Amino acid sequence: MTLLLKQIFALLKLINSETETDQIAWGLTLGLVLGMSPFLSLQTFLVLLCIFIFRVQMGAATLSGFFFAFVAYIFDPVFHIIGLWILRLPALQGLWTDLYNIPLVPLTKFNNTVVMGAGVVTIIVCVPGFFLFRKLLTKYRQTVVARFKQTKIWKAVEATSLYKWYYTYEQYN
Amino acid sequence: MNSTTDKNQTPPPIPTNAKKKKSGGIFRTKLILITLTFLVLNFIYFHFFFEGHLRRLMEWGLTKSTYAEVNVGAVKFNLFKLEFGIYDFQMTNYEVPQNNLVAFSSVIMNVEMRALLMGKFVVEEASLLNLSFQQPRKRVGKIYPELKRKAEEEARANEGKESALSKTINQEKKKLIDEKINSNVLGDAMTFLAADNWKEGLSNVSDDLKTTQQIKRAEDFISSKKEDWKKSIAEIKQSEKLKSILEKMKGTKLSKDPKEALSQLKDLKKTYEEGKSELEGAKNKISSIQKDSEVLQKMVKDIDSFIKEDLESAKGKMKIPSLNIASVGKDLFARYISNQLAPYQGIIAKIQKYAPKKSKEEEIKPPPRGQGLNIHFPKEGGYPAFWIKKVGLSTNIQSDRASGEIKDISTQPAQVGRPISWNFQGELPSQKLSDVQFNGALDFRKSPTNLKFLMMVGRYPIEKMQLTESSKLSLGMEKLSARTKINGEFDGPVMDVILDSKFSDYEWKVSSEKQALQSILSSILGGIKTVDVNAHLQGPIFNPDISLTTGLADDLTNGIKNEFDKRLKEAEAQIKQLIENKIGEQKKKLLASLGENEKQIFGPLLSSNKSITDMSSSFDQVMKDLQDQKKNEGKEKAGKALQKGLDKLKNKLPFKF
Repeated sequence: MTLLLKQIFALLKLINSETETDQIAWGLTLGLVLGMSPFLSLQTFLVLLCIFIFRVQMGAATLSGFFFAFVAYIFDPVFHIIGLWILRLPALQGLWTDLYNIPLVPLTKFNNTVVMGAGVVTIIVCVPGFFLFRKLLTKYRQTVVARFKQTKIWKAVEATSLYKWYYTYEQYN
Repeated sequence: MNSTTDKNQTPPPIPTNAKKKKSGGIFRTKLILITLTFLVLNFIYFHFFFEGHLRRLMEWGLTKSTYAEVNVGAVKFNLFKLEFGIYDFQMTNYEVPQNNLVAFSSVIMNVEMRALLMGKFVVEEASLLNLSFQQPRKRVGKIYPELKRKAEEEARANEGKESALSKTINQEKKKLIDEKINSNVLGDAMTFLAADNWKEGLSNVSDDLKTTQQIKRAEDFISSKKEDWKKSIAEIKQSEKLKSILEKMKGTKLSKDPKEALSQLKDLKKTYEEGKSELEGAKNKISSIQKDSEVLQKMVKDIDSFIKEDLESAKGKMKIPSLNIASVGKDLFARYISNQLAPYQGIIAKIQKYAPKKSKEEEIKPPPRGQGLNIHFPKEGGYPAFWIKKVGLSTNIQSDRASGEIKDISTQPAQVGRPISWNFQGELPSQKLSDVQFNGALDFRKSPTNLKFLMMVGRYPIEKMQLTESSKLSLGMEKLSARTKINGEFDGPVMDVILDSKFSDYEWKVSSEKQALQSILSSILGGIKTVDVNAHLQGPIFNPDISLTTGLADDLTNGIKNEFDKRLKEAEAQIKQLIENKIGEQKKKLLASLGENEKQIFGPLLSSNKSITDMSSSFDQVMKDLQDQKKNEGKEKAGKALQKGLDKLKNKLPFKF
C-alpha cells in the first residue's frame, strides 16, 4: 500500500514535471490492458510482470487499471455481444478449437465472450491509446501546468521559504 | 521593486556538489532482485517446510472436525512432477478410540502438467491403497468430547435451518414409511386371532337386520292384499250367472225352420258373448291373485339371501382384517427395503440438484454482468475442466483382499465420452463381509441423469432386524446372516430396482402382551429356517410401486389363515345362530300366515281357476255344437235338393246309366 501511495504521489509529481512522458503513457496503456482483462488470467499476469520488470509508471498503471475496470464494467454488454459474435464466426471455429486445446492459451480465458470482446477492443485501442496519452500529457503540461504556474497563487507559494527548502531537498534526492 | 524581483525569482540553483539523478535504465533492477529473492525463499520453504506444515494442518483440521485424533504419516508434494501423496493416514473412531474409523496406507495422485497449462485439472491416476475400517490402532487415539459438545450445541441452534433439499428428502421418506410401511397388516391379523374382538362383533348384530325388514315387508304385503284376494275369490265362487247361461245354451234346440234357427243362433251368440265377458273378468281376478302370489313367493325366497347379507354385515362390523401374502410381505420387509434404498435415493436427489447443466440451458439465461458466457471448443482427446481418469482402490490388510477402481470422474462427461464408472470386489473378513461386489455407472451425458448399479454381498451379519413393531405385536430376527443383491437403475426421478435378499441362522424374537399370540406365532415360525425376500420397485424414487414376494409371508399367511378359518367358522356359526334367533319368530309367523293363506285363498283359487277354465271350454263346446248342428242341417238339405235335380236330369237324358 505504501508503495502504491508513493507511486501515486510520484505520478502527480511527474505529471506536473517536464520529464518521463513515455513512462506515464506506458503506465496508462498497461493499466488500460489490466482494467480490461479478468483478474485471474494469463494476460493480467503478463502485464503485471511487464509493470514490475520495466520502468513504467506504476501509479499511472494502477489508476488507469481502476479507471478502465470501471469503463469495462459499463461496456460489459457491448463486449459480450462483440465476443459472442467473434467466438461464433464459422471461419474462426478451427482456430478457436486449436487455441482452446493447446497449453497456456486457455489460461487467457479467451473463450469467454466478455473477455474476448474486451480483449479485441483493448488490442485495437492500446497502441493509439499510448500515443493519445502521450499527446494529452504534453498538452496538459503545455497548457494547464504552464498556465497554473503563471497564477498569483502559485507564485506566492513558490516565494515561500518552505517551498524553496522542499525544492532544494527534492533536487538532492 | 525588490519585492517584485523576489516574486519573479526562479528557484535557487542547484548546488554544484549535488549528485545528478540517475535515469536507472529500462529495467527495475532492484525490484527484480527483490522478487527473485522472494522466489528463492519460497522455493526453500516449499522444499523444506511445506510438506510438514501441510501434514500438521491436515491433522489439526481433521481432528477438529471429527473430534478424534487424526494421524498423517507423511505428505509428499513434488511441484515438478505435480505429484501429491498422503501416507499412513489414520482417523480414530470417536466411539471406540482403540480403533480407527478409517485408515489407509497411501493416497497418491499425479496431475498432468499439459492439462494444468491449459487451465484444466486432470489426474492421470490416483490410488488409494490398503483402505481399512474399524481396525485396531497401535495406541489408543485421543478424543475431544468438549469439541463435540460445542459442535452439537451449534447444530441444535441451527436445527431449524435444515436445507430445503434435506427437508424434501426427509418428507418423502416419511410419506413412504407412513403410506407403505406402517400398514401393520400382520399385527392387526395376529391381534385379531389372539384377542376376543371377534366375539364383540356378535353383540353388534343389530335389530335393524335386513332379513327382519324383508319379513315385515312380506307381512305388510299379505295384510294389504288379503281382503282383496278374499273378495275376488268370493266373487269367482259366486258364478251362478255363468252356470245359468251355460244351462240355457245347453238346453237350446235349433228349430228346423231355417229362419227361426237363424234367429235362435243370433240370441245364442249374444248370450255366449255375455258369458265370455263374465269369464274374462273371473280370469283377470285369478291372474292378479296369481301375480301377487308370485311376488310373495319371491319375497319369502329372498329372505335367505338377506340372511347372508346380514351375516356379511355382522362380519364386517367385527373388523376382520383382510390378509393377503403381498400385504404381509410389504408389512414385514418394506422398512428393510426402504433402508437399503435410502442411500441411493439421497444420492439421486442430490445429483439432480447438482448435475452439470446442459449448455443450451446456460445460453437461455442471459449471463450475469461482468461474467459473460463461456463457449467451449472441445475436441476428441481434449481435456475437460476437471477429470480424474482412474482411482485405484485396494486393500490387503490381514486377511482382507479386495480391489477396485473408479474411472472418469469429470465435469464434462460428454467430452470424456464415458460415464463415471466403478467396480469393487473382494473378501473383507475383518468387516465380516464376504463375496463383495459393487459395480455401477453414473451417466451425466444422458438426460435425465442415469445411474445403473449392482451391489452384492454374499454374506454379512446383521445384529437385529425388526420386521414389525406395534403396540400389538413386535416381531424380529436377531443375529442373522444375510446375503443381498441389489440390481437397479435410476433414470432421473424414476427407479427400477430389483432386490434379492436371503437371511439364515437367525433367532426369532416375538413379543406381545397376549400369550396366545406368542404361542400361535412361535408354532408358525418354528419351522421357518431361511427367509428370502424378492422385491421389485418401480416408479418415482420416493414413491415407487413395491412388488414383493417372500417365503416368510407365504408361510405366515398360510399359518395365520388356517387359524383364521377356524375362528371365522366359529364366528360365522355364532352370527348365523344369532340372526336366526332374532328373525326366527318373525319368519315362523310369516310362514304360518303363508300356510293359512294357502289354505284359505290359494287352494280355493286353484279349484276356481279349474272350474272357470272348464266352464270356458264348455261355453266354446256348446257354441260349436250348435253351429255344427246348423251347418249339418244345411248340408243335408242341399244334398237332397242336389239329388233331386240329378234324378230329373237323368230322366231327361236319351241314354241310361
